[in-house]
Amino acid sequence: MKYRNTIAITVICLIIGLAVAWQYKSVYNNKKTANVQNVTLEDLKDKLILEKKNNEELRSRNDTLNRELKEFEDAKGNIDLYEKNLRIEVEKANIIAGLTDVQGSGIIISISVNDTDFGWISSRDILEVINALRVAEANAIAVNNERIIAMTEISEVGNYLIINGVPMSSDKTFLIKAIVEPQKLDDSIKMLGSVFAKLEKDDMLSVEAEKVDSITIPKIEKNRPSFYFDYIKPSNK
Amino acid sequence: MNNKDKKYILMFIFILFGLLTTVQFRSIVNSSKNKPSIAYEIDKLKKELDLEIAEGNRLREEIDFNLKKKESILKTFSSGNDNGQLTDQWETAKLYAGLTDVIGEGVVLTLNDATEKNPFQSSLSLLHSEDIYEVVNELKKAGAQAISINNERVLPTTEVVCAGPTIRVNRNRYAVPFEIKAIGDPKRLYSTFNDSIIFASLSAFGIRVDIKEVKNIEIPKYNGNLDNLLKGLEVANP
Repeated sequence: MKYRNTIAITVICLIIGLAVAWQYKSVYNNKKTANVQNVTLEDLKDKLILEKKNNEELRSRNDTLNRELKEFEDAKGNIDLYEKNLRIEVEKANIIAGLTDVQGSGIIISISVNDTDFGWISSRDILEVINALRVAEANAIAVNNERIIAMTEISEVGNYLIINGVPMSSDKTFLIKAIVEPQKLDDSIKMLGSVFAKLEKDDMLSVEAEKVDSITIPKIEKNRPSFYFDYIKPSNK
Repeated sequence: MNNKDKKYILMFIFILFGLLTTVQFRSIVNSSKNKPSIAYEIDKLKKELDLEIAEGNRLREEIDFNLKKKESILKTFSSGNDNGQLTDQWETAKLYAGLTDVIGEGVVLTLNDATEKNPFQSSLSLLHSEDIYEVVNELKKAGAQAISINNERVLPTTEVVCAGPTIRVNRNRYAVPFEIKAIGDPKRLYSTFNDSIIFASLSAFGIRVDIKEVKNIEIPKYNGNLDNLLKGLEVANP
C-alpha cells in the first residue's frame, strides 16, 4: 500500500513533467511562426510599395509617349516636328554614349596621397568612388578628364592606374568630376561621406569634395579602347 | 508517508495543473486571435502584389509598343526626307549608347553564394556588390564591348549596390545567382578573368564562379527610362 501510493504519484509527476515540456515547446513554436509571418508581412509590404512606385513611373513614361504619338498624328506633314524629334533622339543617344561634352551642376572630388613613399591610390578606390557616384545618380562622370563610359576599365599596372587606356600616376592627385541634378547635390555628398571615410581610414589618402554650380565634362575620345565596337552587331529580332 | 504529506503533494500537482491550463488557454486564445488575421493579410497583400506586377508588365509592353511605333514614324519620315541619313546616325548612336540589342561572341559568367557557411565569418561566403563590380571591371579590362548583369545592360550610369538581401542594378533589384554576359574576344575575356585576383579570392572563399566561352551571346538593350539618365545634363558647346 505504502509503495503503491508513491509509485502512483511518481507516475503522475512524470506525466505532468512531460506535458509541461511539450506545452512549453508548442508555445515557443507558436511564437516563432508568428514572427516568421510578421517578417513575410513586412517583406510583402515593402515589395508592394516598390512595385507601386515603379508602376507610377512606367505610367507617366507611357503617358508622355502617348502624348508624343498624338502630336505626330496631329502634325501630319509637318516636316519640322519630325526632324526636330529625330534630332533630339540622336542627341539623347549621343549623350548617353558619352559622345558630347556635357555641363551642369555637380561635384568635384579630389583624392590625394598624403605620403607618396607609402601610399598610393588603388583601382579599388576609384571604382568605389565611381560606383558611389552612380548610386547618387550622377549622370556623367570623368576621372582626370577621362569620360567614364559604359566599358571604361580601371586597371592598375605598377605605379599607374589605367583608365580608357590612358595611364595616370597613382601617387598624384586624382580629380573626379560628376554632374548631378542641383536638388540632389546635398544628398549625394552625404551619401558619399561613408566612402570617403573608408578611403581616409588609414591616413594614407585625403579626400575633398566640393559642390559646383557648373562644370563641364569632356566627351570620350573615339580612339580609346573602351570605345571599340568591332565584336558587337545589332541583333535584328 | 502520512496523509498530510500526500495532501501537500497533491496540492502542488494541482497548482502546476492550474498554471498549465492557464498558459495553454492563453496561448490558444492569442494564436487564434493573431494567426487568421495575419494569414489573411498576407494573402491579401500577395494578391495585390500579383496585380501590380501584372500591371507593370502590361505597361512595359505598352511602352515597348509605343516606342517601336515612334521609331517607325521617325524612320519613315527620315527615309522620305533625307534618304535615311538621320536614321543611320540614330542607329549608330544607339549602338554606342547601349540602346540596341546586340549579339556576338564572348563569355557568360555565373556567380552564386558559397554552398557552405564560412566558419570564421559567414559574410565571406556571400556574394557582395563590390565583388560584382570588380568582376565587371575585370571584363572591361579584357576589352568587353557590351556587358549585362542579369540582363540589365551595363551603361555609364549602371550602379551595383547592396539593397538588403538583394543587389540593385540599373535601379532594379536582383537576388543570387547572377549571370554576367560579356561580348568581346572570348579568349582574352576568359584568360584575363581566370588570372584575376578577384577570381582567385572569390574561389578561395567558396563562392561559386563559373565562366564559359559562348559563340552567340545576346545582350539586351537598356530597358529603363532614358530621361532619368539625362537629368541634370546639358550639351556644352554644341
